[in-house]
Amino acid sequence: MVNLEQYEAAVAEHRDRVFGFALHFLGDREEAEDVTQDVLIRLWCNRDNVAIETLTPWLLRVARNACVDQYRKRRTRDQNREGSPDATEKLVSQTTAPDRSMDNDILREQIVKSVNELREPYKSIVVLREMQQMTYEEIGSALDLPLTTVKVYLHRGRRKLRESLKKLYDDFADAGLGVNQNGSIGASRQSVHANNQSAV
Amino acid sequence: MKVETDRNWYDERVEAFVDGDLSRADDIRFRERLSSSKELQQDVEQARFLAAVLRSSPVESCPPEISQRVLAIARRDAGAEERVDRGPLRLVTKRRTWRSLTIVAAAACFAVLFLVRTGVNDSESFSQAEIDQALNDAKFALALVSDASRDAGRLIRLDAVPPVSHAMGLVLTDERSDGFEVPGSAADPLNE
Repeated sequence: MVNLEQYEAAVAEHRDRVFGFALHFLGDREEAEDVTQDVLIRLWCNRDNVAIETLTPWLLRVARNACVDQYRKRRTRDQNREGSPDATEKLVSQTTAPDRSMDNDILREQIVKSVNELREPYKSIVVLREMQQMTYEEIGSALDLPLTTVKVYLHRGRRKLRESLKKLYDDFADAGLGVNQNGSIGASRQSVHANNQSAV
Repeated sequence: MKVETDRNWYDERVEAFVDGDLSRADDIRFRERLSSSKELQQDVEQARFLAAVLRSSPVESCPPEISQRVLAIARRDAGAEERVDRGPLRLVTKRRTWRSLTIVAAAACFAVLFLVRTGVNDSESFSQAEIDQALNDAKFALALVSDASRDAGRLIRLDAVPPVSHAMGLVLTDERSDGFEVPGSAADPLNE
């Protein structure tokens, strides 16, 4: 990729993906914008060294490294390690859950927050797979990991999220709320147990 | 201990089961336990719900000003590269072209002068008309080159252009009717 036209096309095609990844990784819109701009400028500076075929994994690799650097800078500034609560709330407010209720909003917020708390490389892989809908091969190429490793890390990352969610479910149960069969908050836990009799 | 290890085995495979990534043997073993374990069923449902929530995350659009800023930088950079590539090369090319032309024109003039002087001394070699015609042709060529050089000098440094005025003075500034000034004569500008 060497000319301006190709670069403009690449920016138009990939800017949302890069920004989305950075936003989900960092949980802060301003930082995500900075990272996105930095990544796209780096693409221009390295345009002679990046082939069109490897553009997506290259961009995500650079974006991920930039996000990790930004995250470390945030830590050294003694900010909240779990990410900016304001940004987390913003992310939650933008979702349109079909059965939107205050309790499910809290649940969604906790899930987003839990993603932010994941360690690397689980965090990157969960974001790339679950939020960016990338294939295992694309993730492996971006992070330079074998396919089986990507799957193992993805499952471990989601398991950690489930564990943090389980604690939340217990908290809701203590508050008199239960978990529906589909996992949302609402009915009492007893009804969930009853439903599970006929599950699978 | 064995029970704990056994529970861990299933717990570690909940997400893989939800994604359909278990091997055939593991999948059979997992389903056998799932049919009888409410806890495992709950884990599977929570894992499915979690995956659904994550996958339903909104698609974030990059703010337009980000890409506008980046493209502006790239366009400016690309334009600067083009000017750097073409600019000096054009000057050098122009300079070399005009220098070459000037040298050729000056050489032609001197050749004409030499011939004319030879002809003056040996009037049998060239007729006066032929000499006049040759001189006029040389003067015209020099004027053409000097005009062009003057124009080029506005774009490039004048000291890059070999001085034409010397040759111009020798030929164009003359007091004789035939337009030719003999070098070394009193009217020769160089002797002023």
